[in-house]
Amino acid sequence: MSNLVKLLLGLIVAVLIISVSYLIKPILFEVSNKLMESERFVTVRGVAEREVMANHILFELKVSTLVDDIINESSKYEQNCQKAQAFMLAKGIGAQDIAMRSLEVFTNRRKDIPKNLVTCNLVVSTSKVLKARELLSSLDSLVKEGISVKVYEYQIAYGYTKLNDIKPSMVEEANKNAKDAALVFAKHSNATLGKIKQARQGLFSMQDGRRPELIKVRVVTQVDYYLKN
Amino acid sequence: MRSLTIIISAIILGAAILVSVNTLRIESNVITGRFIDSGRVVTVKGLAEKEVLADRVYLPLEFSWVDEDLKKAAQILDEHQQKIIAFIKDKGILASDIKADMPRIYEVTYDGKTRYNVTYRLVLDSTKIKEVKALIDNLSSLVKEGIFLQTTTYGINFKYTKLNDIKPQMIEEATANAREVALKFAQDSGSSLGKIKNASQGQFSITNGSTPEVKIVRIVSTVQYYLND
Repeated sequence: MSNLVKLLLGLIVAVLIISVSYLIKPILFEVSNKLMESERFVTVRGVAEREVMANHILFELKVSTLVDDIINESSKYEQNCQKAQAFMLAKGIGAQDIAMRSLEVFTNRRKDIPKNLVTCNLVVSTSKVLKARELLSSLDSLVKEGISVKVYEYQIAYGYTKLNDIKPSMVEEANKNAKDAALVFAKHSNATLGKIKQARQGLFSMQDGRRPELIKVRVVTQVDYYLKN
Repeated sequence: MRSLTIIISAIILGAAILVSVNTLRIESNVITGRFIDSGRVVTVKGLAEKEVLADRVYLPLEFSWVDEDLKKAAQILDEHQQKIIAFIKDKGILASDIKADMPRIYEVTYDGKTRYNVTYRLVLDSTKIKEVKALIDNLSSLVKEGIFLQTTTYGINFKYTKLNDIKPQMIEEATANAREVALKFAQDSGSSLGKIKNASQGQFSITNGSTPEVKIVRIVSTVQYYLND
């Protein structure tokens, strides 16, 4: 090989080496650009709330009767207890949903009034929530017959067992609300919304609704969206 | 002549490598500079606050009677209830907004007698705020008819249910307020405000206002802007 050719070869390799650096330059720039872009994001929250009807109710109805003699006047309190049960059946509660838990006696210790308060506890566990509420709103008709009844609101338990059915659509709704909030941000800052960087779904919560038999189901999603431009 | 060619080639290649590395060095400096600049930020908070009127009110009304005869107490309370309901409807509140809640009965023994202390309860759940307020102010007029209505102040509950309608506008307002603060910052430090780097929406809160039926809706957004020069 002649010396001139060798020199030429050397020059070509030199040019190649310099060219490579100029090719790498924009690649480095592009990488740094992308990394800096990934630092831009907006954090938003989306809420989905639904008010659902409980599909199960559990409560205790106490029927109290005053008697002088617990044994000989037993028909008095038994009758009142029966009437209360009949009332509930008439309101549409199934017989299998009513159970008598216990009979309680409170004796007044004062000697001049030998009065005993006998209470029969009826436990109702039913899926007929609206019928049960109807029943509870019309207890005054038992009182009019002279039957003393007690139910305490804080002792009524409501259940909702269909949570899994509404979870997917609620998560979807929460995500959509989050995206809407992010779009407001982006629009206002003259940027465009990119893809999701990070998303976190909160826990589902059940709280009291507008009426006792309603349950408010709630979920909050927190999402980070990339911002472009 | 052979060794001279080799020396010249080596010098040329060496120079090429040096130029190449230098090009990359210069580019790396530029990129590092950009990263350092992207760390120049100003972080501000933007507040949006709105006073809103409650659009729903929840009001429990209780009235009692004490008698030895339970049937008589129930009858009297029933009469009272009719009068109260008529009074409420007369004030412009819908009948469907009034619901009967469960009665409370206590057997109280003293003075050698056992008496029944019976309390009936009506619950108002209405969107007619003005009418309910007028009702509360005029309850004392029922005293003339022997009806003593008990409404505990903690029992009245004013609610604002339209949060979702004002959310977008409030987020926008909070973002705008944040930008104003950031602009001031930038001006004061002799820089110009760049694009948004990060933003965090914050959480909406509803608190009671100066009066119970006024609510304050509040959101604080945190925004981070690039500082340019």
